[in-house]
Amino acid sequence: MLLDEIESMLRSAGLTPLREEGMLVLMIGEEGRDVVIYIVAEEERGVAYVLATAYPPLKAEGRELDLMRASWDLVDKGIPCKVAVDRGSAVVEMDLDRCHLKKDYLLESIYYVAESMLTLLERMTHVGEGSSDTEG
Amino acid sequence: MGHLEQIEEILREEGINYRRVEQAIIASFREGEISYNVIVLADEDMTVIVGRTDPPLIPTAEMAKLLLEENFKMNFASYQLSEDNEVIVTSFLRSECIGESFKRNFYITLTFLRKLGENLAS
Repeated sequence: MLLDEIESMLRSAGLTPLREEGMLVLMIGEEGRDVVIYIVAEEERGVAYVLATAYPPLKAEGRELDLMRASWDLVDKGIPCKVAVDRGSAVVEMDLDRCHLKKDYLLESIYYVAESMLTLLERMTHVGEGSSDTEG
Repeated sequence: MGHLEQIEEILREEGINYRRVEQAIIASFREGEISYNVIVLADEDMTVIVGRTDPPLIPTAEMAKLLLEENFKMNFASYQLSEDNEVIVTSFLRSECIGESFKRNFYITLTFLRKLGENLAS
């Protein structure tokens, strides 16, 4: 099973993910901000999805253009993540096919999505505080 | 064979016209009034595919919402918003995975661009 392989890679790196409802879950906290990492595997396609959400969730409503700009800034810095919205909340995601499912890449992906979500939290907090710039 | 040469070989096999400009590969497609321009850059570690439409799509907030939801549904590429407020499509892969993953990511980038084209045409 793909998820077993991924769990084994994480444990060999010293991480202890929770396994819940067919996904692996990691919690990362920094300065009072929590990021939840979910890893889901699609066995037939041989693809894993590494997702980061904020806890509590980062609401996207009214900030969609800012989120898309922030996403470009991340990409422009060479961070290969995508920013998406699921059920009204911001999500950072990386998709890994079989060729990319190696321990180093997996760990780097976890780092990228977590760091990107923390960056979004920081940036969107400032947008919420000071700017109403939501139109292009 | 270098990474860009490997990509050139794949594009040739696919019958895609492209130009090599120094360390970039550029491919352009035209469908009606809309052009799709794709640039591929690769270094030792990463390969990035960047696509844009001409004319550019400047999204409303409502459209941005739909594009972000699309980002969640679709895989291996995503919509971003450039400093010029233009929607850009990007797709990343590890350069060592070009042989396995480049073709898929390239065509997915085109799929994303065509969806933008549909928005522009409507």
